[in-house]
Amino acid sequence: MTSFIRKYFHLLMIFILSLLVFLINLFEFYTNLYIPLLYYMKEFFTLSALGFSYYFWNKIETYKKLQVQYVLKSFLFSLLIFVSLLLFRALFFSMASYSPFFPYVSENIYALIFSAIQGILLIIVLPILLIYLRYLFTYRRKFSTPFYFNIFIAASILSSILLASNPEEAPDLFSVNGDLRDLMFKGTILFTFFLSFRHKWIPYLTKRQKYIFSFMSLFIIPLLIILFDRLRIPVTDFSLSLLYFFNHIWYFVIFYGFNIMISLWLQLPTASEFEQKLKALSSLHSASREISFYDSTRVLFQKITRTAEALGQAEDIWLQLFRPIGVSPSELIISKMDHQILKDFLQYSFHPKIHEYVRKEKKSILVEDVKTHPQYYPYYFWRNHIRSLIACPLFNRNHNLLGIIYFIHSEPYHFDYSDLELYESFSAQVSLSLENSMLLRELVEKERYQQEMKIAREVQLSLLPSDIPSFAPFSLSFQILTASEVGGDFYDIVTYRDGSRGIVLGDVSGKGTEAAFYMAEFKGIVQAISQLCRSPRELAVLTNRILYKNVERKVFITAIFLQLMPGQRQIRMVRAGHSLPIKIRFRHHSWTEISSRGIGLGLNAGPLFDQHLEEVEFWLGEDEMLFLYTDGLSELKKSNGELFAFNDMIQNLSNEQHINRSADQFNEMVLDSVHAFLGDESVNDDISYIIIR
Amino acid sequence: MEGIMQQFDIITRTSGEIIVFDLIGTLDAHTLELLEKKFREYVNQDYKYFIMNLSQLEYVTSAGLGVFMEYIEDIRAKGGDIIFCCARDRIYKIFDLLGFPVIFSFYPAEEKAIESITGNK
Repeated sequence: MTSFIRKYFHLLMIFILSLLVFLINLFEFYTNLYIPLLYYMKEFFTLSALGFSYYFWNKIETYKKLQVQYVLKSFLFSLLIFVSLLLFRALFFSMASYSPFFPYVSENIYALIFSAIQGILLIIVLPILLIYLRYLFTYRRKFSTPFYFNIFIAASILSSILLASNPEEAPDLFSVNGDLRDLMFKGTILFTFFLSFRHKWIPYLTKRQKYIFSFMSLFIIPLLIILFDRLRIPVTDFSLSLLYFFNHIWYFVIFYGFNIMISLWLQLPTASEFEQKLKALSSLHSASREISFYDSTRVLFQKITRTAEALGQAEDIWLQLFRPIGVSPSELIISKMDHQILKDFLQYSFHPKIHEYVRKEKKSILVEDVKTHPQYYPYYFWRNHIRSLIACPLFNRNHNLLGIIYFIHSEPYHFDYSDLELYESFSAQVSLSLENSMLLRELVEKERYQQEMKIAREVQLSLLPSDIPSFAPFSLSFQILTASEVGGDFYDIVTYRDGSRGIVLGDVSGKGTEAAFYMAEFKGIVQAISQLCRSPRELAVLTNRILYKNVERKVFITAIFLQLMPGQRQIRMVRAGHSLPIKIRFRHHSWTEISSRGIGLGLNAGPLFDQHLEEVEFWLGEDEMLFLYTDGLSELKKSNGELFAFNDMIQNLSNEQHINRSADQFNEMVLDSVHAFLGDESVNDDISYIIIR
Repeated sequence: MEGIMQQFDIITRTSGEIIVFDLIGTLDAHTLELLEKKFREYVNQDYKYFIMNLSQLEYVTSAGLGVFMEYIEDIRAKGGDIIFCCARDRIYKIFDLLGFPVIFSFYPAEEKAIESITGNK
């Protein structure tokens, strides 16, 4: 019970207070007594009831719910309530009668009762009308706007109180009386008149709404006046303060109504234009949200055409992409034409071309009538649906041309300069998203590439032998410098059938994961069969046979296979297409290349390879050194094109003074000269070498 | 990418079933795409004999050589061949090291290369 009371407290108060007012009126009616105290109490109750009503509605109709459509509809609905009230009176209270002069007291009990009914209704409805008026008035408000409306409310209430305090006289609208009450009343009405000019919500109605409301206003205004006339008498009987309050609200409504009507009628001719512009702006707004980034240019373009079409007006839209950026148009994506026409356009040689202008001037162009344009008329004769055209450039953040969007229509003068502005800002959005999509793709590519390289390098390093066994009486030193892109170099240690050790130094053609893959394959083959082979030649021949069948045609491997004969310092070697090994004789401060015939592995299935493979055997003295390397070292280049002085380095190494240096020491020396040459730069092909002493 | 982009270009000259590629510049892993493209294009057009004029070839790496290996089987299957000519010493040395002269024919002059084709007919 208490929660019910709490919830509907205001409503209850309204009824209770109205009932009290009715009872007082009843008392006055039957006793014919006028007691000032009772009178003032009555007016106080009325005003309080109005107050409760206002608070009640304020709670219900929160600002968030209000919208122009809703407010107007509710307003009409309340007018309907009053019309129903009139009908109600005509049907059930036709016998109610009031005195013909102010203050229109009721002459019979029916009138009294009807006054009360109408009074309660007005107490309930007037505040909500006030709230609606406030909403419409403060639409798109400035800082001080609500302030003016509050003055209106305050003035109305004050005026009502002042006037009600003199129950004998009614104010005369058409004469000026120095009396304060009179001034207050008329002053408020004048103020209301000025306020009624503020209807900033009207332009934002749709065209259809403007038309409908214009015609409706022709009926509503007279209705308002009629209602005013019919309602004022019973309300005067009920309560004077309510009457005056009702007056002020109703004047506002009528002034406002007239203003709205005139404004609507004046806006009808431009309604469609305005609506179009509004739509275009809102499309642009949603475009900037929708066009974020997309994976493929094609999807992006679909979104672009959809939004551009929503912008209205363009019948056809083309997107022309420039690759390389800023240089030449490479791709044309046309929305409504097919591929054949696309090809046709690219081959059709009309000059000058619009994209040349856009590219050079770096700005958009509006061609109002292509057909009569002195330079671009060929476009019309190529396809006669190109009658008016806007072309907007798409720039990346460095102000280079990414592409051009064309907006095309088959009517001349279909686009104007305000359209150009709109399309330009749309194109700015597109530029941004196009660039983002391109950058994202590049980033993804780069990451993928780097990931691939990482894997390749891991594979490559894992294929290298982890332990270096003894090669006595020889001493060996190995070195590999991998390029970031993985150049295909690798070396391995094998054991031949007779237990002798050997090494393989190889270079796989190709780069990246591909090279790493074939490296692994090569190593697998070599390791598997080396223990069946008696000599490097046998190893090479068999390896080639197997390899040829198992690799792509364009892949080949150059390699040197060595066998280090145990006991003696004898070496057997085959060179399968690889760089010539170098033998240094320190005592003579000289070096020679050891040449032997042999083609690369994987080039030929067998016969030619075997036929041309020459095995050599030589002795390596303790005062000599064998230097094996890959072309990464001999062809080493800096980014400016400068070539590494390979021969000079070899010459340096062969200095007699180095005769007692160990293999590892020579390793360091070579490494030092490589680093000295490169400086900060990194290698772009693998460098490997093996030193044998 | 490390290193400078070397320039590479190909000029093609045709006469009957013979097509000559003038290889200009540096043929390496970065530039071989163009050579692949040309081979693809002209092999599909039924040219039989591909003469590689190397007089303007500055440099070649093993990656570049792979392109020839890729297409030689198809070309020979159609009864044609890839023939090299006019290689500078340095360039010939690179081919020789790998063993290309074993698999392909090299001629000092273009006329000789053409003769070897027409002579065999």
